[in-house]
Formats: sequence, structure tokens, C-alpha cells
Amino acid sequence: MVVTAPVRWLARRPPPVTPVQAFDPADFAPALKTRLLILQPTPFCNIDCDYCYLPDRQSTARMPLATMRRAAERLLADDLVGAQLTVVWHAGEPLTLPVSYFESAITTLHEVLGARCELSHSIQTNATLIDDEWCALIKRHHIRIGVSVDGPADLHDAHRRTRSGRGTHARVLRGMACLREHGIEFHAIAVVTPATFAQADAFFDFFEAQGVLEVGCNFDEAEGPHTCSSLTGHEAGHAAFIAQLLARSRAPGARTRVRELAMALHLIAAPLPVQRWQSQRWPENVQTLPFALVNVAHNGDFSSFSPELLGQPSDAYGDFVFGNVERDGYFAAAREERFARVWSAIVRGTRACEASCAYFGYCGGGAPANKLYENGDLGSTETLYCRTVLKRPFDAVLAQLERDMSALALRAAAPGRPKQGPTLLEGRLPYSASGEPS
Amino acid sequence: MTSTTTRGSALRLLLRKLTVAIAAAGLLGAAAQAQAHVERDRSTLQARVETMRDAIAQALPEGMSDGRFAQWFNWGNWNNWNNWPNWGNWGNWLNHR
Repeated sequence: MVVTAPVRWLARRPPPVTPVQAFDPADFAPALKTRLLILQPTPFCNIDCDYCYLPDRQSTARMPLATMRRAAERLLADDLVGAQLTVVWHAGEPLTLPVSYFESAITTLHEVLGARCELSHSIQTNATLIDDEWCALIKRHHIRIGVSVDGPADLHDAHRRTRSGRGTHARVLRGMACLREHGIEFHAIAVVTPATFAQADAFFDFFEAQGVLEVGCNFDEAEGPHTCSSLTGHEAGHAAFIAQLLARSRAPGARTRVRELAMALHLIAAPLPVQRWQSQRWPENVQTLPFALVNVAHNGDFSSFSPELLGQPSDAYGDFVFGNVERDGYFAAAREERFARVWSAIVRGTRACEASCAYFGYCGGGAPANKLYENGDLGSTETLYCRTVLKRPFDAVLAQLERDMSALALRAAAPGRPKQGPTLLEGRLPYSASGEPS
Repeated sequence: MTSTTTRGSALRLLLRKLTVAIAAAGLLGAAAQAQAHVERDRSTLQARVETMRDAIAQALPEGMSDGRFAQWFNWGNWNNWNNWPNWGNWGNWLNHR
């Protein structure tokens, strides 16, 4: 009699295999449209932040105009252009290129896409190179500007330094001052670390003082070569930070909004659009929806989903490059096996989120890049990113709204009021039925 | 001797199978419990959000932006929602460091 140990039987089982999901654009309703075309005009950056995920930021290569034209033409060829399209110049410091480059680039893209959609441009910049000439270009083309700045000097200069190790804060302040002098509104994004948690008020005051209308908090993430988040083990500090930002940003007279809190309010106020894929109905999430974000590197290599994946080495998925705009169409590349492997894992992760997360209806499946770098699996579920960017801000805003609603109801039920029950309609004091202030 | 060995092996096999079965049942039970927790949390959160959306629908004239909703709650200057492109929850993707 042969005795087989059950553990040996278990050990012989093959590892889980992700079923390959063939990509067919006809499976999606509404039809796939690109929201952001993220172009890397150059990988070069003139500074050297210690948490940067870009591996080749010393390269001074630049995207040829012919390549960006091809990137745009490929969108048209696959009918990926909807009513609106934003081009984001990103992934490197765009302003290390001459102003004339952007004049030509914008002209080129408008030649290809201008008649087909409302085309707008965004530049994310460290602001160290902004001068009058750049401001003139920004105004001429109504370019939306985001400045990367981490708050007060000590927080900023701890990480955002030159290659010789000097802080860049003073130069960023000059750049923002130049924008203000030209009447250019801008938003900011800040990498937030535990050190920021300890200075929530100083952080908020800085953006108020700089006239920043909206600040996005990029909570330090593990991504690419930046393999570990400094926030690990500091999540209680995160909750307190969010609470303080909420208190500050909704106070009378406050001008600066916090992107994560504003997004939470938006999600509470109205449901996300639904995206159908085969028999699934998922809340729309542009990081898991194929080609909602199209990411093109300076050499024409392209990817989709989380933009920070493009070019990052991975044992399971290569470098996330699905093709090159010089030779491949987006949809044609998506029918290849390397796209299918990524798409299959993202589908698996989205289904797992749907089954396991109470917040799925307000998210639609998280951020694939964070799943990969935090959990080692594109098909995994919750990440620190989910908790810091979505869940805690959502909880904080919802709880605050509930407190405010209770206060309104109590006011409505105060002695002397008609006894018809405290309804929220009674709270509609600031506005007339037309929606105008009464 | 042979018979004793065979009986011993069979017993060990039975015990192993039982151990695996109990472990599997435990895992399944834990998974079911975890799923029940998720469903409870999902329902609770959804009910809270729906209550808030109902409040919006009651309180604000049709078509009023959620920016007005924020103003109605006297939330500072959270009123420029209309400038936001409809990019969904992750849409304002500018993850630059």
C-alpha cells in the first residue's frame, strides 16, 4: 500500500495561473476613450529628489515632434478621442526643454487633434525654471500648471535637492512668485512623509500663503526604485493629519482645498460613472480602465494603466511597454500577450477588490502600480495608498458631513420652529430655489 | 507485522486527511466570516452615503453643483467644482513627486 502524504499532494499543485483575458475594445461600454495623454518630453530632471521613481532622469533625450504626432494620430486611428482630452507633460522636468519646443509641440498636437476634441494641456513642474518667457507660453496656451512643492522649506529641502545636495525651496518660491506676478493660477502637489504629519498647520499655512488653490497630497509611496514608503507604521499620524487638513480647509476664510478631501466630497455627493466590461459593471477607475490613460515615453514606447509603471522592470510583466507608437497601434498592441498578462492581473485585482473592500463602489479597483510595489502582485487588493488617498479622507469627510447635518437638523428643530419635523429643506437658507444666494 | 504497518499507515493517512479537512473547514469558515464583515461594512457605508445623497437631493435645487452643497454646509471655499474635469475619482492623476 502506497501512502501519500497530503502535504506532498498540495506541494505538487502548480502555482495559481492568471487566466489570460483577451482584450477586445467591443467588450467595453461606454466605448473606451482616452482622458489623459501623458507625454514624457524628456526623462531629464534638473534636480534629484530622493523619492523619485524615474530611473533615467539623467538622460537628456527628448521626444521628437514626429513621435508625439504619431502618438496623437494613433489615438485617432483607434477612435480613442472623446469630447475632451488633456495632454499632461510629465515624467521628468518638462521645463528643462526650451520654450520653443513646447510651442512646436502644442502646435503639432493641435494640428492632429484640435478639430476632433477640446484639447488642453497640463504641465507638472518643479517650478525652479519658471520665468517670464515660460509664463507667456503658459498664458498663451492656457496651460494648467501644477507645482511640485512639499510645503515649508525644511520639509521640502529634506528631499527635493539638486545633484550637489542643495535644497531647491528658494528657487521654487521664486517660480511660484513669477506665476502669481503673471496672474497664473496653479495647483500644487506635495509628497507627504511622517515629518509632514508633525507640521500639519505649517503645511496648510504654506499653501494658503502661496495662493495655492488646491494642494494634492502624494503620500509617500513605494514605487519602482523607491522601494519603501516612509509612512509604513505611521498611519495613526496620517489619520490625525487628514483630520487637521479637513478642519483647516473648511474653516471660514480658507482658500486652499485639499485634493483628497475634495475628491471624497465629490464621491459622496454623486456616484461614479459605471463602466461595463463583458458582464461586469464597475465604477469607473482610469487606472484600471485600458487606455483611459495613455502614457508615452520620450522614445515612443507606450503603456497604459498607472503611468508610473511605464518602463519599470518587472519579472512578471517585462517593462510594461506594450508597444511603440512608431510601429504599433494602441489596440493592436493590446491584443498581444504582454498586454493580456497585465490586463488579466488587473481584472483579477479588480474582482478581488470588489469582493473584499467596502469602498469598492467609490474607487473601482485601486491603483495597479501600488498593488504591485506594495503587495508584489498587480492582482492584489488593499494598499497603504488606498488607505491614505481614499479610505481615510472619505471617512473623515463623511463623518464631518454627518455632524454638520445633525447640527442643521437640531437648528431646524429648535424651540419656536413649526412642528413639522426637522427636514434638511429647512437648512436651505443660503440659496433661493434658483440656486443663487438668497 | 505487515498487517500492523498497513493499519498504522492507514491510520496516519486518516489522521492527515482529518487534519486537512479540519484546516480547510476552518479556512472556509474564516473566509465566510471575513466576507460577512465586508458585506456588513459595505452596507453600512452605502447607507450612510445614500443618506447624505438624499440630503443633497432634498436640500438643493435640481442641478445644483456639489460645490453649492459644500457651501450650503458652509465649508469654506470649496465651491469651484465646476472647474473640475469629469475624470472620476482617480482622474486628477498627477502623481509627480
